[in-house]
Amino acid sequence: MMNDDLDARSWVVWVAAAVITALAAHNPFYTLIVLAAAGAVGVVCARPDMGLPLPLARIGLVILFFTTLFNALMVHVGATVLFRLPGNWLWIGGPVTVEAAVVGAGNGLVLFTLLVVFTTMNRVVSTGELVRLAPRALRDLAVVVLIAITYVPETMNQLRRIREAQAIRGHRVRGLRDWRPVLIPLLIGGLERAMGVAEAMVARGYGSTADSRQPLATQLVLLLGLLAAFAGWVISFWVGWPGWMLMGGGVVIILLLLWQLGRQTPFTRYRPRPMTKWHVGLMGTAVFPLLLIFLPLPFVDKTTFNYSPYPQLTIPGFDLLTGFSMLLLSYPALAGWFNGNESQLAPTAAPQVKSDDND
Amino acid sequence: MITINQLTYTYPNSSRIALQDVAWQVNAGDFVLVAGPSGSGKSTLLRCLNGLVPHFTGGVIDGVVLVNGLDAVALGPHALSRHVGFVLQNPEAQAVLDRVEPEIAFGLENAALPVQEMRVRVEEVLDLLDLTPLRERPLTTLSGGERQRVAIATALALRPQILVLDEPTSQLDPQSAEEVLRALVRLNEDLGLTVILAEHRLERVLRYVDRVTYLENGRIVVDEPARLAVAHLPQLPPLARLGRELGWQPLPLTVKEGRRFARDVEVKRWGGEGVKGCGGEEVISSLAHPLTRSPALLTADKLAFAYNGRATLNNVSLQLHAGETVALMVRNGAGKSTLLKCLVGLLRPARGEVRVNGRSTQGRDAADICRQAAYLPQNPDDLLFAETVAEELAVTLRNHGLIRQNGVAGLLEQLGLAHVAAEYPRDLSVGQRQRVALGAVAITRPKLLLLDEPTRGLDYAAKQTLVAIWRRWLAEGMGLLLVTHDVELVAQIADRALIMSQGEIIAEGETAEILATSPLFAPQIARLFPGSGWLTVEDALAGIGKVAE
Repeated sequence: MMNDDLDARSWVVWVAAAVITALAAHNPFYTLIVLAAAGAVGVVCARPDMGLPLPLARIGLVILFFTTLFNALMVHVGATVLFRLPGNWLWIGGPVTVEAAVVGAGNGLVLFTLLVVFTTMNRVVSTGELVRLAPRALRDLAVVVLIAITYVPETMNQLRRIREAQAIRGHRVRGLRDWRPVLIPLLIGGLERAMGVAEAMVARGYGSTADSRQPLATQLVLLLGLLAAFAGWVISFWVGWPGWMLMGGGVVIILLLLWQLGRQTPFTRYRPRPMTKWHVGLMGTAVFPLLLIFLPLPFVDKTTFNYSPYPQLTIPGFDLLTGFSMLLLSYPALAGWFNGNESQLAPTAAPQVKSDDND
Repeated sequence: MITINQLTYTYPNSSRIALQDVAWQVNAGDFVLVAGPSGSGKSTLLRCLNGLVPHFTGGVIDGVVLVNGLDAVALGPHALSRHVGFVLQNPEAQAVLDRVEPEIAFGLENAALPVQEMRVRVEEVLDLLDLTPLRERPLTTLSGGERQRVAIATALALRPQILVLDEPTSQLDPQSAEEVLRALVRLNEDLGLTVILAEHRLERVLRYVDRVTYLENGRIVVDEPARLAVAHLPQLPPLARLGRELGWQPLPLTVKEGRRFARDVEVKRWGGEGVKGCGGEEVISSLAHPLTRSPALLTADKLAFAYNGRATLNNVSLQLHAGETVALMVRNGAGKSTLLKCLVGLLRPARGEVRVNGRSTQGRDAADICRQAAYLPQNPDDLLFAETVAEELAVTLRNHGLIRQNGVAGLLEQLGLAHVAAEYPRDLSVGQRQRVALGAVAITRPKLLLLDEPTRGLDYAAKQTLVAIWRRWLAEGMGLLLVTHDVELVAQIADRALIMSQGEIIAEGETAEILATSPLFAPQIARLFPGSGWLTVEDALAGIGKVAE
């Protein structure tokens, strides 16, 4: 049973829910819960062939350090003053407060949580599944983007190789200019690799079923949609809802056009992924915290979503039900842990006949 | 099946004509080898067959390319992809997904084939290429040969009538290359698939092909059945070269064919001096360079190294002396690069000690060690960044705090690069780039040179140029550690050979002894004259001459 048999759509819902939750709930306790849930899922549900995870703890510490330092030096608000920098120091001059540092750390925590969520997605869902999720009309673009993503590890390997190659020539990186011997081979090598993959894909007939010549009418409709969306966005600065309506209309036109174009691009799937109860459970548990955050529910303490340490540092509030709902994001990890991981997480669909199974 | 007429092509922004007045015909079911020196137009010709040239590359094209009756120039690669399967040199650069089965099916999904049809085709190619046991495996866990077979399966799944392969074995060890070539022979013989293959290492492929097309400067200079072509090829594998020297007719394409002639040679030898048969009791030395037993320039003692808890080196010991070449031969991924990195201080071994010029490398940085033990990595392009060839060498000197401008000019002269000293290194040919990289690491005049697959992708001429340079340095007392899959190169230059498997040295000795007894790494001449100790054409000629006297 392979994890790449997972239904990627349900995982996209999980990622979206985790990201929105992390961004919407301004409370370090809630952010920590999302972070722990995403980390647990990444550890338990990672595909067996995935290598070691990124050194996330180290990256997290770096992010926290810099966001804390940045906010503490740049924002001079808060009652608890640690020390003062001379007022004539551009931007950073003034009081450095505990409250500003805490806000910076909170922002860093959110950034790190987002990184962990996306890393988890990358470790759980295969590139192939993500490629297939893209709208058919945008499939060429999606493949290019995803190949670029998969090239990140290869680029890291290449960077290591080049640094070694330059190191044996006695090269040492001391300043920005010393990066030239590393960056030039890296950029040229990256371009050559990209050309290699593009050539292989063209030779394999990728995109041969799509008609790249779009009729004038299609192009005009797309232009109309883009103009409407842009005009609506501009208008919304002066007159609120009519602008939003126009922008929404433009977006709907573009989506309908993509849907129509997608229908003209035939595509089949070798292994259709059935939506199982497990996947429904995954989506349901993922959406639950969003309901608590966004629905006007009287029994949820919404004040805990907007924690601010200004003007004086306080301990953030905590709503038990909200915290529990966010804990549900760890459902895949818990299910995997209780049920022996792979077999429950990856209901395999044998190749089966299903004509033109699309996105 | 393929008809090319008056084809002339020039790449964009280039004044050099890549293909000139090419007229070529390939019949259905042919197995054709396209050979020729680097830059002769082999890859360009192959890319014309599926329309990648000019549709992907751009440039100016003139002439007719008809493939299965389709005009490749007019229709381009999308239309031709169902007729021509294309496999590139590097299997890693053509995979899109991460597992064997989805990777094979991906092209079929994009061709919008019905699922039932896809299943049949995937099973078919898995069977054809012996990939069924690997179907669920991640691509990263496969060997080079297995990955190349997956690339072939991916191309074949679209059921093309023609399979085109651009140097598919150039990055593979002998065993993996053999796997790939046997698969191609099976496809050609059993399915009647037309196979067109570009390759530098003729000794690997000549025996399998029906026909050879040889290009030089964008023109076809030889285009004949393999047996006839071999008499006219400017570059020949050792077996055919020996046959030509000894006047064998027809020239042998396989070791088995060569043995028919070799029997006579052996009769003369055994009859003449009473050499005791094939047991090797009285082995004639093949060594061009007698072993030097000066103090060791390099000593590695019981090195051990592990990646993520998995041992990649285990108790590896070796010694290298002045004027000596030691060849290290390994299966793909058996820890060769790890060993080289441990030797030059890029990696710290978990156990064991390395001494360069009698001094331990412990606590020293790689740059310091590499001043005495230069290391040329597998990919020369990783080193090249300067604006000119001369500057590329001078940068290394500056990095080490050395001023030796006349040294740059002298070394460029030795490397045969003086005439391109002012050119941009990346604009040079593969062989020239390899020599620039060699110069960039050797400009410090080290006592030791460690080379990682230095002849990968090079043609015979470029290889011989390198060998000549190394021989001169060896005569000056340099020591050479050569990590390679190229057995003919090892036969030509190495005094001693080591075979490494699973991170351990499993065989070590004089080159003649090691190569002659290894079914995997034996060069053609050693297989032709088992027990003789001969490895190269020169050995055989010298040995036969001696016996004949």
